[in-house]
Amino acid sequence: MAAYRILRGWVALFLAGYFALGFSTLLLPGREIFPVSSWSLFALVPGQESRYALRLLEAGGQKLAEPVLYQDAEGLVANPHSVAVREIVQQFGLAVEQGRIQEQLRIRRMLEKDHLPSPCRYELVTISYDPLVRWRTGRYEVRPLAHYASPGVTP
Amino acid sequence: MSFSRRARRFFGPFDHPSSPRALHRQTESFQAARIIVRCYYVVVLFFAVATVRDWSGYLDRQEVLTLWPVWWLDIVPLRGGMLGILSGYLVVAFLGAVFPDRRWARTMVFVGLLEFVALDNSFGKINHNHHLWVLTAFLLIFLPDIQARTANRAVRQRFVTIFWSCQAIVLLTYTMSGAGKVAGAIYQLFAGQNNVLMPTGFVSIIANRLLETNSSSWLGPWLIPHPWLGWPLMLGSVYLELFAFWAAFRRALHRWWGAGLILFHVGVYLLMGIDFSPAVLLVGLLFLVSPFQDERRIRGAVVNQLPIVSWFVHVVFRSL
Repeated sequence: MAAYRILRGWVALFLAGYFALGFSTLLLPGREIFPVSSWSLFALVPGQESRYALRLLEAGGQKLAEPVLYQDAEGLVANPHSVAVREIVQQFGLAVEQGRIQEQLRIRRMLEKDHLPSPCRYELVTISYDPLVRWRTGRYEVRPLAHYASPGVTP
Repeated sequence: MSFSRRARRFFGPFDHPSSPRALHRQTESFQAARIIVRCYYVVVLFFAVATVRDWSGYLDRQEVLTLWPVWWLDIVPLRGGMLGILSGYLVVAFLGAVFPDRRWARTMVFVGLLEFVALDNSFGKINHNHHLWVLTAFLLIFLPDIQARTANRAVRQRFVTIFWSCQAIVLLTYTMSGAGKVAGAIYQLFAGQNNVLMPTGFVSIIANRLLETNSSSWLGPWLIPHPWLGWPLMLGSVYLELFAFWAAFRRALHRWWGAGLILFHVGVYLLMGIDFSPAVLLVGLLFLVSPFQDERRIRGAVVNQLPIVSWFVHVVFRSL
């Protein structure tokens, strides 16, 4: 009986600990320490959104008539609708704005080796929009942050 | 009153009759839970085998942003390290499916799963598809090593307690998600912003999700101009998520809550294009065939155990 009581206490502690640790990860920059998560998915309704994005200027050595957002670059990149790329670009944008050079280089390597065509010229931008307005009208504002060229040159 | 009794009283149903068949039910639950645990490890093997077709995709990757369980990939040749994780996962999943009664096999499955899922999430984005499998694989390590015929009452009770803890951690994550949404709604309400409890909250989330990656979904583009149809879906989802943990203590709800959560995931896929099929499989295993579900049909048992609703019904009927 004592062993069972200890087991029950341990289970309660595990559940309570996961709950507390899960929500405390919200205070961290990455908002998660795998596999502990707050599970706060879609908790906030987007209002006026400001997101980082990539715009391609040149892909596979071919200069584009006008800049194309990565997610619109059907036929130019392998998976334009990738959720992973969306997340990587958010991390990249933060690293650029906060001046974290090593992280920028690491994320650039990942983007350029695994997700962008080579050679390629692209820019990091912020796009601002209201989701419902953009859905109806397609309207959003763009603010360029930095230019890059792969492989490995920042003009 | 002890902590666990207080917790049971808080999360448990109003009417909490002690059953004269408790011992008999414990044996039945134990036998059913044992079969489900065996199935669990067969499913892990299925996942590992299904991963083989993606091996070349993993091995072609040239850069990783490693999560802590695979930190060592930074100091070994990347391709060799990834091959070790992928093949190790397959081997331990096979051992787990063959020897699910052995703790060493279950421990290896947990380590293999942890390493594989950490690798899978080391490419810049953490998705939550397999988190619940990792957490439950960890808990299942603590199942007692037993042969069915020799399991005495205490061992059977330890077995079903660990099984229940797997159900509880899964439901707890949904409750955390629901609590996050309610907290977010309260914050945005006081900030004068749109929120998940408002009619246009849900469609804003869907629109943003689809716009971010310029992707589409089966029903999302149709629902966005009809926010009033999406509103009850969102409110129902918040209820289902927020009170999921209560369902762990109310066995009449297990099957229904499992079905509800599966429908929730199907809805999320149809509206937002987010596939959560590994979680659907786990919810199905743990709740649609819950070993604690009473097979006898007791009239009104489900309504009597629904959080908030049961309280409301109780108050209304008492006042009549």
